[in-house]
Amino acid sequence: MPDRSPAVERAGSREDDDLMCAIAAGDQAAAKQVVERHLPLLMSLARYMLGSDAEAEEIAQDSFLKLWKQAKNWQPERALIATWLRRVASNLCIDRLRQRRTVALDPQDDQLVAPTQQRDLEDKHLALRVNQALTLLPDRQKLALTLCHYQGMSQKQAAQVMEISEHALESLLSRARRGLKKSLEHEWKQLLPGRYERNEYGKTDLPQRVKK
Amino acid sequence: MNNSNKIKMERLQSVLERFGADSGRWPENEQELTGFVKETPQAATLYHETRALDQLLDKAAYLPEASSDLQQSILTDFTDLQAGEDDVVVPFLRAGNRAKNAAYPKHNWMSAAAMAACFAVGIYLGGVGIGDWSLDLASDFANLASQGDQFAEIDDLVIPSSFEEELL
Repeated sequence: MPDRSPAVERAGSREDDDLMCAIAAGDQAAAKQVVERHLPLLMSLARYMLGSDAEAEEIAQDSFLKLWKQAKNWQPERALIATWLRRVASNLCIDRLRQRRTVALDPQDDQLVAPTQQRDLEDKHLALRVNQALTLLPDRQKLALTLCHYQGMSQKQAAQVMEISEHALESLLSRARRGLKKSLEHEWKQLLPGRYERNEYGKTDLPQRVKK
Repeated sequence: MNNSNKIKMERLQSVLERFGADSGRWPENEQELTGFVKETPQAATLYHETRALDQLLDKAAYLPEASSDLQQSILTDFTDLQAGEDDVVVPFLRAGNRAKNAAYPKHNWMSAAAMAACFAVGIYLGGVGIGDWSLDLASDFANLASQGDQFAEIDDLVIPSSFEEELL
């Protein structure tokens, strides 16, 4: 997503301020509008972070509850609703990931479940591998990559969500990409130009059996 | 590879790691690197590797469709808060039970359970005769309260402590 110009950002901020004002006054239609606009992206963010649809729904609901409670104290022109919601959801996700480690849960099966969109078998396998690799990334690297790559946020916006400098965000992104490039080496090599077609027919890149 | 190209390769690697292969996301001052990629085979290799990684990540792209149950729950939270029910407790609404719970307004089961418990205790106490005793006690207190001047007598009956005796 390209950087939003300051004018566009100001207009968005004014629109958000109006919406929050209406929500603070109990306007159900305004609340519905905000939910419809932000819920899918919020769920997507939580899904990438936690790997579970059920938990993503809980995070989304918790985030909106905090927004409703915040409405009366909303400070105009301080933040966009999208940024505010993503920040809250990100923090809730990281809290959950920490709790998971604290109680040493077994890896959840549904963390590894590939998205349910229609794909062919190979794509499903690749999606599964990517999800597994994402799960193994450190939390903040995963969050930075999710915001920039999957949510299409600019570096500036993602840094605002994570409350860090752009430089720190770029450092997280670099480390995330380096980690993924290493852990998914076999998979991305299949997608290199000139190799993909041969792979489709299974003629190259398959591990050769060592004959003893 | 000469020194200038080595420096450009390092810049390209840094840009690819930070922004990915979509040159539309690269900073303006790094746009010239697209020419370097076209001209230099090593740069092209690095670029294609990053693009392959981006394409791989896209395989896991996922934009969920929010269920109407979830939307409804979120809006119910909003309505509850507006109605002054500040104690909306989301963790009770595990996702799997959301539809089931939607049929029951939040916390009503708690109130019902508390009322049922009070009712049961009341019947039990009535059954064992404590009810009569407690009624007698209540009536004594009521009489005492209605005879204000008798409080003076009660004050007289207070036994002074040894310290107070010394003072007297």
